[in-house]
Amino acid sequence: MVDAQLLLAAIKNATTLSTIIIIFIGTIWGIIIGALPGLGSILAIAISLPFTYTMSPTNAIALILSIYCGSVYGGSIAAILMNTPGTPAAAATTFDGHPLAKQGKSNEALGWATSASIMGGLFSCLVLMFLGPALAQFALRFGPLETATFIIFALLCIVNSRRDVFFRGLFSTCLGLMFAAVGVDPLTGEMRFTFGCFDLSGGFALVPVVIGIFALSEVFFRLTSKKEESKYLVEYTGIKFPSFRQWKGRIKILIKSACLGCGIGILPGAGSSAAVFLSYASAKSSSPNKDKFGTGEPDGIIAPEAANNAVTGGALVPTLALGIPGDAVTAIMLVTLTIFGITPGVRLMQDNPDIVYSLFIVLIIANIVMLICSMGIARVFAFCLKIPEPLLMTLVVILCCLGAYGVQNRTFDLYITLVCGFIGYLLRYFNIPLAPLVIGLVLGEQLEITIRQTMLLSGDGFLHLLLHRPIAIIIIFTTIIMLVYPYCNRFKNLNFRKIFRG
Amino acid sequence: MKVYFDRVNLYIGLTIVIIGIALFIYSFFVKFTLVSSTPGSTGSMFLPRYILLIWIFSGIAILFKPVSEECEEVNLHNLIYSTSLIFIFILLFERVGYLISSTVFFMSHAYFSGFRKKLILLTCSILSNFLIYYIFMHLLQMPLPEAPWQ
Repeated sequence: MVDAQLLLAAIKNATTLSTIIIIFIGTIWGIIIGALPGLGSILAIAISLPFTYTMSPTNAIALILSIYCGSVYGGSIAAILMNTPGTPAAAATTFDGHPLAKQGKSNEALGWATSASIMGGLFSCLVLMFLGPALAQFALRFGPLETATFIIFALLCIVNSRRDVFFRGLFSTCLGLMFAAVGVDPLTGEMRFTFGCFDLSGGFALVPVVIGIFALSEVFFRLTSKKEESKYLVEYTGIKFPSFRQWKGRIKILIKSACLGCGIGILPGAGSSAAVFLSYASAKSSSPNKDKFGTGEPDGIIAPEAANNAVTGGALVPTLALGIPGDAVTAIMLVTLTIFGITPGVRLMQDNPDIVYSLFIVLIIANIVMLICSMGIARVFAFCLKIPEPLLMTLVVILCCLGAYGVQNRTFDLYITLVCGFIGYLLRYFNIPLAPLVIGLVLGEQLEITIRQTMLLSGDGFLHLLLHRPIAIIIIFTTIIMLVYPYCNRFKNLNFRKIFRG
Repeated sequence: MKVYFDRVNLYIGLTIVIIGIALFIYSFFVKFTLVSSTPGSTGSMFLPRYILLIWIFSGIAILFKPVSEECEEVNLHNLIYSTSLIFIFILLFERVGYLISSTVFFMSHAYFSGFRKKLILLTCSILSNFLIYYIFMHLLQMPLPEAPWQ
């Protein structure tokens, strides 16, 4: 349960002037980058990493979290006004948001999106506050075997979330784990895969690799893409929030979508895209105005917007309670924690309760700040769109380089970023998912240590150890079901009569 | 317009398998000796070898995937100049300092990316880099490389 004393200390810690200013800056920055089509949350966070190095852990996390919340909301501005989702999470907002804007009601469309986003976000904060500590308490029962099996389960969940490219995702995970294996072996101290390069003896620093894989590769991808993006903007003058009367009959959709978003966010790898489409489909089937969906129905804006912002808090539940990131954004958040010497893992909440509880408060403040910022930001959106892409991309490259350099003040890290940027570009080009790579990289060392500790513990044999560990058995069983179930379904749907008749 | 690579799975799969096998062989080639005599004790190559086996297996699975993927047509020239300019920027970064290297990089990278308004380019590059320099050096107290004569 929530510790009241820690919560009070966290409120004091997270409501200092510097933290509030940082949350404002982060939210504005997140909304702007999220609203620019194609840039997204990960790039917004990656290029702001260098600014966090000299901050306190609370302020650094406040910046990252507010950018995350802001960018998820910002994606809907582009979706409504341009019919181009700024982030994948805003894709379903285009279905009803843009038609409503085209009817001359863009202010109302933005108002529905903003209020649904904020309420979805605040709902997920509450879920995180109550579920996170309970899950973390349960995670204390985890020994090396449970931790290892849970990491494997999380990695396979992320790979399995895109079944169309399952093996590519599996390769991406292996690549991430191999990146993590470079350098000194954590148990014996021997050098591995350094190929005689002294600079690699400490292994790959997480930040340069993450910046290269996500941010620099995005720059390369945009520079080489021959697609022209439309910059047609529907006219708007600001935001018009819906009245309480207009909300009547829509609260149910909002709560249902927020619950769906939060629940899906907790699952590793499911991501916000799945949450928004599921909640849109669910709202379409249960709304009293289901016939109007696709023509500018507010329920069609409320459902995806409440869901995508509810994912933010949901995704943080396994990240903070178990130290297992569910997606690339939360993986980068854990990378930020490592800069301050905080090790991600099942003891994250037990060892650093002050930071974790401050994070809860920061998330609530970020959602409130989003309301204030949204009123002004929508006005400057048209101006942001006018920034020429070559200038924007060049600035992104410079910030990427500063981010990579700032971790250890080493030029070698800049070369790592460049190489990783190139690798990231190739992976994107060949449709190999990037998220498993980063999550594999973040969890690699922990996975190796726990597996090898398990091997040491299983002196009497692995099965003997497993029989005394019911949690591990459940995790292994769930993993097997997750992998096998789709094939069972396919097997069930086979038309044997047709096959045997030839 | 889209270009279809019929054998793209084959190329990706083969590359993954070859790199995987090379790393797997390397893990045996270099001697790693520090394995304790305690039962269950493992050497430093224990997990990487298993990971590499899964790596090779995923490569083989991609290799034999019957459906070919489609790849978008890309402008490779942009990738080459961008990579080269970033490489030069990194080379100059510590030698001539942040301000000069980033200003030169900003102008050249944006120019080759298609922004040809020289006066705006010059103004933007100088202003943005001075602003970044000021924020990092004075507000965030994060040291950036300076020119040798500074």
